[in-house]
Amino acid sequence: MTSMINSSASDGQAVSQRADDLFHENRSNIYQRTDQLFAKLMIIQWIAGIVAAVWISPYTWAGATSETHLHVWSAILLGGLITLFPVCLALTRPGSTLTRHVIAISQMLTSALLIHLSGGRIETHFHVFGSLAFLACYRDWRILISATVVVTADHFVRGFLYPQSVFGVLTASPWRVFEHAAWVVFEDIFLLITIRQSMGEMKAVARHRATLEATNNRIWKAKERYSSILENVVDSVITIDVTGSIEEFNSAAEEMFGYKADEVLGKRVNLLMPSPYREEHDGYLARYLTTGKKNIINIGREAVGKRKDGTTFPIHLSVSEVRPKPNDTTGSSHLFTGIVRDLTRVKENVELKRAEAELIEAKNLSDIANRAKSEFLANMSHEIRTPMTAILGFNDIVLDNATEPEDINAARTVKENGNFLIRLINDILDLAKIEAKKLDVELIACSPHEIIADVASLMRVRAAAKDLPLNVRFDGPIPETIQSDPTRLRQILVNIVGNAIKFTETGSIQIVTCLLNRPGEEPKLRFDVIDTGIGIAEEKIEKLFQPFTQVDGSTTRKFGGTGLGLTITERLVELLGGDVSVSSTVGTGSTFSATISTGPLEDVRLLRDAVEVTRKKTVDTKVTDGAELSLENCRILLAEDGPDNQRLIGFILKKAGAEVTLADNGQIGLELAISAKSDGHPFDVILMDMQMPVLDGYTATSRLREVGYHRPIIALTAHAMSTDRQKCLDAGCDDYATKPIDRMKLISLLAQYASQHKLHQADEAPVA
Amino acid sequence: MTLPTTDTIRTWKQITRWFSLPALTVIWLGVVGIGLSWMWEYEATPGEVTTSLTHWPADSHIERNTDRPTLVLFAHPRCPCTRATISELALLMAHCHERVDARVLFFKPSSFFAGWEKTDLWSSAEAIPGVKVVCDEDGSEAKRFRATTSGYSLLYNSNGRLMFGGGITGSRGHSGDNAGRSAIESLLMDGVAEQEQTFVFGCPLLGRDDTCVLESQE
Repeated sequence: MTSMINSSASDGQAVSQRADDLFHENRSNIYQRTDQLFAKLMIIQWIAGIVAAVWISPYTWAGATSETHLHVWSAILLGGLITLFPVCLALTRPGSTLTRHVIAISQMLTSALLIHLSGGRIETHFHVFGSLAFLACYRDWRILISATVVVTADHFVRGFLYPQSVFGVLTASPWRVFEHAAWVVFEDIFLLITIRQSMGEMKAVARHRATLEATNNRIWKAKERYSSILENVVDSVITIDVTGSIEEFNSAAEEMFGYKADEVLGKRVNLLMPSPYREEHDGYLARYLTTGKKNIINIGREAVGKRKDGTTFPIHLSVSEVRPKPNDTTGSSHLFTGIVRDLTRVKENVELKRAEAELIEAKNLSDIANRAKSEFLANMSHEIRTPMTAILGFNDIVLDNATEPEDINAARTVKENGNFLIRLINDILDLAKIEAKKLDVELIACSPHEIIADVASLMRVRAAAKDLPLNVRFDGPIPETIQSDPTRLRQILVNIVGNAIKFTETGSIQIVTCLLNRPGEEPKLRFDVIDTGIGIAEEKIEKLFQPFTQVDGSTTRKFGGTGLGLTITERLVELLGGDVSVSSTVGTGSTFSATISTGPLEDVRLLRDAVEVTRKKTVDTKVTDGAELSLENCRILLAEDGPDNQRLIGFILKKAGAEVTLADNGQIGLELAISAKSDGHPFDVILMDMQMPVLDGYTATSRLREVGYHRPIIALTAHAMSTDRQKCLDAGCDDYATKPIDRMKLISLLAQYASQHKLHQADEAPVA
Repeated sequence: MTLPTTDTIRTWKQITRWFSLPALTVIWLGVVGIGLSWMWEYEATPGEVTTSLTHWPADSHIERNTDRPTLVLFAHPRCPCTRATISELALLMAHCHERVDARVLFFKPSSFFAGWEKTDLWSSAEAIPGVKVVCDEDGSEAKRFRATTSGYSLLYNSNGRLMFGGGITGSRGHSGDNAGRSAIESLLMDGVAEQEQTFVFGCPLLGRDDTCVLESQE
């Protein structure tokens, strides 16, 4: 409020200041104009005086001779003297105070000269009064004083010295001087009143003009703001009168409707609408004007607009009304301003958002379904692996103890089918993870020679069963190490080589490895697995990599298999930065080629005697595989809730020489471990099942670590996913073994941790 | 001797500029005043003063009225100053029409063309009731009556004796109450007047005589 008052006061001061400036400017203009007017008048007076003198008394006579009359010379010289000085001032210094006063004095001197030359004719006194009135045009009372002083002084001087020259008589009363002066003052009074009123009016006009300028300035600013908004606003702004004729059409409207403003100004606004909106609009306007009922004004509604090209589009129309002021005499119109917004984008956005929401919902549902599928697969895997652990484990025991060939065959059949079932489960899990893009590959430095040697060693056993030689060949130098995932590479090669063995009855299997290191391309390692098998028809090659698909139904029955191997292989190869391809001739054999990215090879040694490395590795592996493992004097706590697995794992561990303590759940395992440690006879290793009642293996392990239990804990779980492995390690487990258990691997793992821990204790003993 | 500094020169220029126009204005007023004074002096200077004949000259061809006074006025037909004299004559005749006969004699050099003398003054004088206008060829009558200045007026009684001689205007070309007209009116009305002789303000009637100025100053 205070700021508004200050602003108002400031505006008032500015207007007053401007009014003063305008008043002084106007007065100065009047001074200058009147100066110039008097300059012309005085010149005319002078010329007129000369003409009159020449006309009336051109000559003075002396008998028969004549000469120019003195009046003529007076009119020329004295009149010129009186006239030219003020005229020069008026021309060179218009508006100055001195000029004005000199003009006033000069005009009075002219009067004096006229009166004098006319012999004091009373009529010539009117020149005085006329001049005073004319001088009042200056609207400066001070020059009337100057003029009056000159007149009075002239009358006094001549009235006393030579009254006939001013009064026309030789003897005049001294009071006549005062009488003449009084008449001049009398006129002055009227003129002063007039000047005062005129000055007041000038000040009022200046004040009005200043106020008008301030108002105009405000209006101009408002108009500028309005124009700026009007021309830059995104929405169309269209103003119509009561007849619906367009009076205003902004740039946005031009762009929106495709019309130029000139094309639509003065035309009916309904040309911008298609039927039936056109008729509705006319109806709304007419109804509002007659009844005052509002349908759009100050309400807004959605409608349809029509472009110049005839196309229509959705719009939102809001209308405001501008009524002329009551008793308006300026001819202001009753107007309606419509703001039109193109809803095309809005509608599209709504549609897009709806589609997006549906997609998100579908994705969420898909995610939920995928999670459910993953959980189902995990649970199914767990539920199958758990009994399979017991089946295969006890079958191994049976196989170890069987002596009769029939028993041995039966036990082997159980084992083979059990292993097939496990492989099927593993393949399904892998495929599920690949399709869910949850299969991560870890790129680490690994030796392709060792991987190939491992695969060859593993698969050579199976090839040997069919009397098929499995050869390994390296074409050219091979990097000593590559950046890849050794587990997945091994899985790829096992799949491909396994297929080759499966579909080859005679001939051989060959693994050929070469480095593809072309300039400008990423280096890759290619593995060709060449067999002399039955081959694949060209039209069936495309189906090879589709899941659950084999070349034909009969092969499934003849050769067996899940139909997932090549699908998984292809996806894994892609994950490792390569691709897989097949060339085959029916009856001759097939070549499966897989390439994988090697990563940068700048600092990697290329080996030419790779065959030797492979052979050496093969020999070492055989030595390791042949080693006998023992868990003698090893105290193991087995936390496992399943009674079958308790018996199986307990039997295996005890047979390996271990002292096994059983715990039915995690809570018991936790208590036993802490108790044993407290008694000074801690377990060497804890084999902890992860899914148990009362307290699961994750929680039990975490609590043991929390209470400072540092001895090895090996997780045992039927969950086979990598995320499960990480979860076990995060809980505090040292390592991980999956169900169904591989007897040799389990014993080896336990022996490794038990011996490491004992070695650690031995290292620490002297210090203690 | 030290030279003036720049500031001093600037100050003097300012002072000069400040006072130059007012000073010029004062000078202008002074010169105008001198001019007006010169005008006054010219108009207040009478013509040649002569000794009027106390009796009507016998050799005059002008008809004298023996029943009442006769006023003889010598005028130059082209003297602008005489216009005021004719105006005063008109007033005089208006006041004393039945008491005087007036004769206005307009000078005309014989060498000039006929009608030269018949100017607006002639017409004005002729239009005044009781006034007889006569042409004075080569100023012969003027010489007889010793008239040297236009506007010279002589009033003789019925016996031919001079009653008044002089001008009937107060200054050159200025109409209005004056001693000459008042004296004639008084003589005609009352038979007496305060003045019997006045200065004559007008152009030299027969030719310039520089001595008149000196005499008037005396």
